[in-house]
Amino acid sequence: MESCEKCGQVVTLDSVSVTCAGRCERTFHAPCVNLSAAVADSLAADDGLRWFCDQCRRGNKRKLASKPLQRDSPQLPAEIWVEIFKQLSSWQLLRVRLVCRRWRDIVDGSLNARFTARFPKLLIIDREYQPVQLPLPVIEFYFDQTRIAAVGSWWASFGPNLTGITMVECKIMLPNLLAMLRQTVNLTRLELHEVIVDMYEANPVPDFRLDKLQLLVIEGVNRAENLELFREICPNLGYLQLVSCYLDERSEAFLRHVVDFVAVRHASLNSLEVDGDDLLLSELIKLRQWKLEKLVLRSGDFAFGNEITRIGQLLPNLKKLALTLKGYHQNKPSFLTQMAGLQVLQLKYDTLTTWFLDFDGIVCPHLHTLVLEHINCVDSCLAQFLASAPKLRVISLSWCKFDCWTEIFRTIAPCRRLQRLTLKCIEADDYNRCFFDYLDDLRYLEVHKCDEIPQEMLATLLSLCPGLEELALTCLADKIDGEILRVICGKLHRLVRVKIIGCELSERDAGYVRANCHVLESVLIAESFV
Amino acid sequence: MSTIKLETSDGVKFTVKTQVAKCSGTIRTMLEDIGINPQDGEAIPLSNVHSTILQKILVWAEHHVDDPEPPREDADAAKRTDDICSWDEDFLKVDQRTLFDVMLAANYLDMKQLIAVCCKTVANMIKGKTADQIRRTFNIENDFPPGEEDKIRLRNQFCEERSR
Repeated sequence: MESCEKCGQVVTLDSVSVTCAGRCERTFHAPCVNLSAAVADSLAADDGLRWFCDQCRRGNKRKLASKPLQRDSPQLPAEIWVEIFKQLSSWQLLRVRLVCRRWRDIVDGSLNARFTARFPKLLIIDREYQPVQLPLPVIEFYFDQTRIAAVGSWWASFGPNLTGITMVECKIMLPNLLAMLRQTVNLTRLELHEVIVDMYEANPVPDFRLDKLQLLVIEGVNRAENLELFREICPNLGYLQLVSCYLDERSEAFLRHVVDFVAVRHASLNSLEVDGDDLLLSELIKLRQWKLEKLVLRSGDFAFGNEITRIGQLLPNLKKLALTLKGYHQNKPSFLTQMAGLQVLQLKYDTLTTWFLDFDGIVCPHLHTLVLEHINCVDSCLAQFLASAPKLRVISLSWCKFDCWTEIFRTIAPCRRLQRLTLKCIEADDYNRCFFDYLDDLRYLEVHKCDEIPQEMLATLLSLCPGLEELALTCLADKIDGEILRVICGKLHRLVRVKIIGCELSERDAGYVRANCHVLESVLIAESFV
Repeated sequence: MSTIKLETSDGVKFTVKTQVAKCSGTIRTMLEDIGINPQDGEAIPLSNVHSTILQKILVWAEHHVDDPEPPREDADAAKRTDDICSWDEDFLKVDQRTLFDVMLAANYLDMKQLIAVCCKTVANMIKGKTADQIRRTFNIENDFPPGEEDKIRLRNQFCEERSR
């Protein structure tokens, strides 16, 4: 039973009442708002007359005037709005939910797909825990430094809807984790980053499987036997990442479990990232029926021996390869010739010094991205290698050694369609002889801590990249002079983001850039990374 | 070149190249599956489409008649709405009413490519706007009871975009 908003008395069925047609929808006794019974009756008859309370009246005059306009625009059916909303980010969808009831219902009804619930940091989930009311239905959960002591009944109402769980630096007992996962039959993605999953006895036998799980990331394993359990419950993985965080984790037992995991599940994998070493490699090449497209072997402990050459033969469909190497002698990555379809190649040495890599005669015709770290490129025939890759769009060189800066740009020169270039901590002498050609397609340029780059060359480089949209100049000490700033402000008309950090820019210069630079989104000038 | 006739809701008859008409899944199904014979000279009735809108849609179909089949898109693929070609962009520079009418008709005629480009256009009208600005753009009344919007806003804070 409603009560009159004016006098507070109950509005009974036989009293004459009116309801506000405005946003508040409140009910009043007709006499309380000075309406005659006849007027109230005709309002109730719903013949197009509307009445607004004093409070809504002012706001609604405008709304009434716009009403006919609304009738003008046809209503789109929910299925079309769903298609429109699919184009939006989750962040924008949250705003869309605020617009009106219909839109909220459309988002919640058909686009539940994309909300992640992020639990507060350092939360303790115990028996008494109940989550605050969430905008249902959430389909991803993110736990950050959460300690999960018990899983209450609330989990059962979320679990079946979830498609993704990420845990970062959490602590949980294995039986509790299993109790959670038993409910998540629709899970496709599970990421455990430095999560401590403990168990003081032997593994329990799992009585369920996560058949839909596609992606599993376990970064840091406190207990090697956990891997055995995950191997059992994840039969259909496409993406697997099993990496240790610390060297002491990489015990024989851990590597053994990694090898077993990959041996049992490799046939469905198209992406694999593991700590590489010779043992692992020699086991991997015994396996058949790979359909791997992406292989990342990190913190590796191997050289280019027979095993890695065999990998080339074993995985001819590989599109992405990332290797971390230990180098003690000259190396020639001849296995690359076997991988004709390779698009992304990342090679790095896990050391403080650079190591020589011989690219003579190596050809990767489909290469799109090349990332080199700690590599000595002097006389390495890198230029020849790049010239054989006409599709190259992205080059990143970090801690690499060249004879001189002229050589770097001579090397890059054949890559006329280059879009992104990163040069970090390059070791090269500063002869400044050559002049190079325009890099018309370059959109992104980052130069970080290159102590020997001649100022004149940096200025020339910038003025030959007229299409640059993003520019990052970091830790260049006092390299950035007035000439360089004039090029940035005067020639780079398509810049969207500019970052100049740690370059000892004076206030006046910083002000000059802020005032004159053609930037759409952001300029960041700072003395240190915060 | 074979042609067929289409009749709109307001009784206007259009003679259209069969190939162009087949941009519409609805018409294609009528011709191929149900076996309506275009040589009969009978016009296919399109009772949900007004002549002004059909004329506009035929201009679009004529321009796009030779487009290749779009690749199957990954549901998880990055959401792009900045890849509308400039011809389509100009074509869709119309008032909202017309845009919505085109969408309704394209939906009825089952023209997936046209719907997709219209949806991107509308999505671009939503992007970067607050709830209030969106309401003004589409002339939508805020029908949440007072306070409810704030409650939803509060709960929204708990959610965020999936990190990639």
